[in-house]
Amino acid sequence: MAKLKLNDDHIKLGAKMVFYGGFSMPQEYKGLVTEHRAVRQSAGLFDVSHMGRVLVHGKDALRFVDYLVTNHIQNQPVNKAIYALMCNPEGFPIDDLIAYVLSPKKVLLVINAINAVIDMEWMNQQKANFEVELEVVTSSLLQLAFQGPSAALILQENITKKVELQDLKFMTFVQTHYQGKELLISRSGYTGSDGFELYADEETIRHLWSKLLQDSRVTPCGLGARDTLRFEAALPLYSHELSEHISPVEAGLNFAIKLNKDFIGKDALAKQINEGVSKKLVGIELIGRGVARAEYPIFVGDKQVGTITTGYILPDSTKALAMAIIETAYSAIGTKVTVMMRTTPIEAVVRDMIFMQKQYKR
Amino acid sequence: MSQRKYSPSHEWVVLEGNIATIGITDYAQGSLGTIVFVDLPTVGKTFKENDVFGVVESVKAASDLYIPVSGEIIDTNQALSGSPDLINQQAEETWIIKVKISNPSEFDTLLSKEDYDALPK
Repeated sequence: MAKLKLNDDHIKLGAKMVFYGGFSMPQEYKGLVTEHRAVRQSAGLFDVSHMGRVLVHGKDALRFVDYLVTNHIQNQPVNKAIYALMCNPEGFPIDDLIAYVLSPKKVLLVINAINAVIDMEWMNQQKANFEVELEVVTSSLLQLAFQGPSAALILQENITKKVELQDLKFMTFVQTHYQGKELLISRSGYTGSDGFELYADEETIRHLWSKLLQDSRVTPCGLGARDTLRFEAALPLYSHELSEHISPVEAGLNFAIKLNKDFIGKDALAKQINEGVSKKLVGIELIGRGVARAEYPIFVGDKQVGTITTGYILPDSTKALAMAIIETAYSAIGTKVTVMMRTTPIEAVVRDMIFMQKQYKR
Repeated sequence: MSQRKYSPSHEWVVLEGNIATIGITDYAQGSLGTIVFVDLPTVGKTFKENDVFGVVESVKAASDLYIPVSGEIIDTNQALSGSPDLINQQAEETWIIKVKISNPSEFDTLLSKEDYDALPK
């Protein structure tokens, strides 16, 4: 089990640690509910250096990534961040990722920790016809997420006077310097709130971590809040809402699939988009009392028609909400279903996945 | 004269005559975090010592509740269905179930407060 470079900093803050994606990770510091609220109301700081980071360099860097993933990469300007899926020829995702176009010959891929090894094997198998090199930089280029409505102001005041953050739009970034070291500031995140992801070397990240936490408006946040926040924003988590059995079309991610270009899995995904899919990701709200957790089966009558993928009663709410993958025939909003909570059947209804309004800076 | 004892699985038990009142400890509520739902057993159901009698759900996860003494459920705390976080506010005063016990010697083997507090946690 690997330790984060900032492991000692987390222990000093009293973090409860948990094993995830090969790393010992902070689950929570002061408590999940406090941390969730901090991101919605002020600012939360996450060490997400467990995420895999890979540099793709070379003449064909953009063309190669474009061929690997579902979204447009090749025609994108420098300093744009793109969400995309890397699929197999059958159209099932190997991973979902963010591609950062650093230059016409350099792309940074941020991939899921749990898939990092498989992703590298896959990418290496595909690169024969491209002039590219792959460099894993997970342990040298670290990553923080700084999220919440106050994040922009706090970052501007404490870290960077020279970059006008108010001009930085969602899914774009700047490559700047901080105390002589390279710092990438991206307006992006995994919470549904406004916020940033910061990439730099270990020394710089350690400095940013402690400097930002000295500001009383900033709360350190762990994986617990990261999951409740991304769930509330209805963002998929690989291995729950996306997997080798749940395609991006089934997960409702068509916005990230571009059929006017060539990529691995295109034919299979085009078929799904044109002919429809047999199951879909939906929202679920319990009518009866309980909590719908991942893997609980969903029934209509005696027939299992779906499975919960993630579910919570969120902080400051009494509603039990969930995301679920369900047979298309039962996916219409308002469909009455039964969620089997352990041995107790709970009445529930299919609903939209708009659990909150996202607060992105467009 | 009632007596309060503790289980290594973080339940407390108060025995009055042959009626045991059971809840979870302050340590347990602290490690669970904010409690959002308590799945209570049906009155009249019988359980053996260390059976799962219910589930307490915090925001992050579901955790089983273990019954420290064998017996029959005679009452459950209905206030918890509306306000499950009463357990967070006052764990040692917020009971979850009352049980008519069938084997008093089980209670004797439970931990004193001093012994419970000394457990490695």
